[in-house]
Amino acid sequence: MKKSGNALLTIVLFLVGIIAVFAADILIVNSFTTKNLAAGFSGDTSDSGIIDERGVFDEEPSTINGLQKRVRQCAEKTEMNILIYIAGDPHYGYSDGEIEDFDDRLYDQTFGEYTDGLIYYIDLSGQSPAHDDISRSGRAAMVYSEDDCQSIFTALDNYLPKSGMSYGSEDIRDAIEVFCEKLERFHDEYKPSNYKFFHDKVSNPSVYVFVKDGETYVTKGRAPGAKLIRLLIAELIGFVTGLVTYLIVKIRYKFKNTTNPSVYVSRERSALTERSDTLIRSYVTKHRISSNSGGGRGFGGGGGGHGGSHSHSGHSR
Amino acid sequence: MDAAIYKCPNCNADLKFDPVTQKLSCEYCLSSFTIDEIKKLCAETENSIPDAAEVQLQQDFEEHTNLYHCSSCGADIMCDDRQTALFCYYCHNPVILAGKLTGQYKPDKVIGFKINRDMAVDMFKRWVQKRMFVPKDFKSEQQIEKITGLYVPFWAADCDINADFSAIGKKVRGWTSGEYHYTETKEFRVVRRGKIAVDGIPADGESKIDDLLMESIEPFDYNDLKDFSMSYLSGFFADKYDVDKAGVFPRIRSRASQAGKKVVRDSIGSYTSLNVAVEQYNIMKTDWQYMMLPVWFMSYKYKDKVYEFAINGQTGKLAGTPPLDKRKLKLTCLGLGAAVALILGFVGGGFF
Repeated sequence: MKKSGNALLTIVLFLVGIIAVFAADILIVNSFTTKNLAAGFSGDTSDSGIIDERGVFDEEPSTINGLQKRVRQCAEKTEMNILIYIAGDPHYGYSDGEIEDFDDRLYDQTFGEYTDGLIYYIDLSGQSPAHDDISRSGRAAMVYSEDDCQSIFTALDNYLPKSGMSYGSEDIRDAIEVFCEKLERFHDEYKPSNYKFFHDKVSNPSVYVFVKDGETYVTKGRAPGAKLIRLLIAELIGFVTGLVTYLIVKIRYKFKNTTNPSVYVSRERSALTERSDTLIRSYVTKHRISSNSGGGRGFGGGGGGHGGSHSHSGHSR
Repeated sequence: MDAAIYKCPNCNADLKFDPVTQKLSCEYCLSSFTIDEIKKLCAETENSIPDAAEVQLQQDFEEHTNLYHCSSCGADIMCDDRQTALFCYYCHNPVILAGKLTGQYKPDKVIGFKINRDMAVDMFKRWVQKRMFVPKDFKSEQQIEKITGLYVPFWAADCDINADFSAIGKKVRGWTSGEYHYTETKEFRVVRRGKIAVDGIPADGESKIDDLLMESIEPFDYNDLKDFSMSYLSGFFADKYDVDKAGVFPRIRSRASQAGKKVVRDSIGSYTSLNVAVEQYNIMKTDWQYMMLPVWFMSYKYKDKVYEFAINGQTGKLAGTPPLDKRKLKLTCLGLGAAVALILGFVGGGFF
């Protein structure tokens, strides 16, 4: 009874300790915040819209005007800069990394570094496979997760042509419509958390993007979520160190081995009268050595560093 | 069949005839013998009439040995009539004079102390110095004062063991040639039979002292074994045995079998695997000696548990279970864990 009471007390104390440490962690990670570089959203949607390098809508000015309006409407609703870039022949042969670099530069030149928004690159350059890209900046990196972007790509696969296939302007129009709808829906569904963050290691300098108490932060210093993870790992290692030390010391305080009684054997008076090792059978087995051969896997390189902070989601068609 | 009652040569209990095996069996120590074997063994170990010197020694022992009894833990302590035992070596409570001892408790042999008190204290201090998590008062002078020079009663047994071992041993080797891997397996019938003799396997006859503790400070060097004389007790305490030959025999049998097994196993070459069919170590004959062996002993009660510490009074080999101050250990581990977490937190960027 007393033993189970002690065990219960130990468990309670252990849980109280964990809660106290976690509370201290929360206090620590929220205590230090470096300068916020976030430029937010100006409210001006005039730069949002579509750049039709491919000339899909060259002969349909009313359609492109309608789409430009739709994109700006979406930008206003989501309070983010939105640019859709329909890539044409000049971008034929661009690697994935080059496309991402292009998107980042275009976004920063158009809207400025660390602003809230995104650029959607639709690859109609004719290369195979076509590579679409969504480059997110500022709050967009938090609002639109990788899963959201992949969900958008999957939905748009119904409208955008497969590599080398023909397409009509209405397909692209529908794709843009669906894209705007998806952006608005995911924006409405977004639930901010103080401990989610995006770490842009490619940008120079590398920055953290996070939302704290509803405000978007872009900082060179670590996000509270990143600090929390590091603290928890450090505490786990500390806990394991303490536990291992405890167990080692406990083992060292146990009783040691006893004397082996073979020291009492009298060699003179002992004799093995029968001592035989008789071969009774011998056999050999053989089996073929299986050989495996497999193909290698290639990995493409990324682009160089850039000024603003962007997260990318890519998709090949 | 004659109506004689035979005693077990190993533990002295009555042997009973087992109709199934047609052998005389000991219900107590599970030994078994054929009629011929037991007749031969009994003839060899027939009691001889004690000589006059032996009778004199027994009388001296009875007249000059005082028995003290600890009413707290039940320990019986002997010492010669020139000294007075005041405290129990085991529980440190006062003891009372209980009377004289009968001659049956007189040991046959004794090994005198070679390690004196100062050496024992020094050994204890060095041993405890390495253990920082023992309670503070375990290291105190007051505790060290409790180290007692004690003659512990031991039964030492010389046993003849019949070993019977049979197994299938496998030797496996492999090699690769071309596209094939070959495995050659050779099977051997491994047989070992014979007599293994062990001399002087000791087992303490004192139930209060942990058996494993006494086994840990072995072996004693029997070359120093002398006939018992009261003069050895001078300045030391001695324990009266409370476990007889039959009581210690299971331990003796187990240890003798271990010793026999070691001899047999050491004689077997290196096999990849060994599938044992028969492995028996039967003790056929046991010769006993009752002896007093020198031990520096200390016990320490901590949180309702008694921790014992002992030094072989002849060889200086020491053993014991150090008490662990768990509170001290927990605080140290907590501090260490916190320091590691703090350093890693800073270095790893958990703070800034």
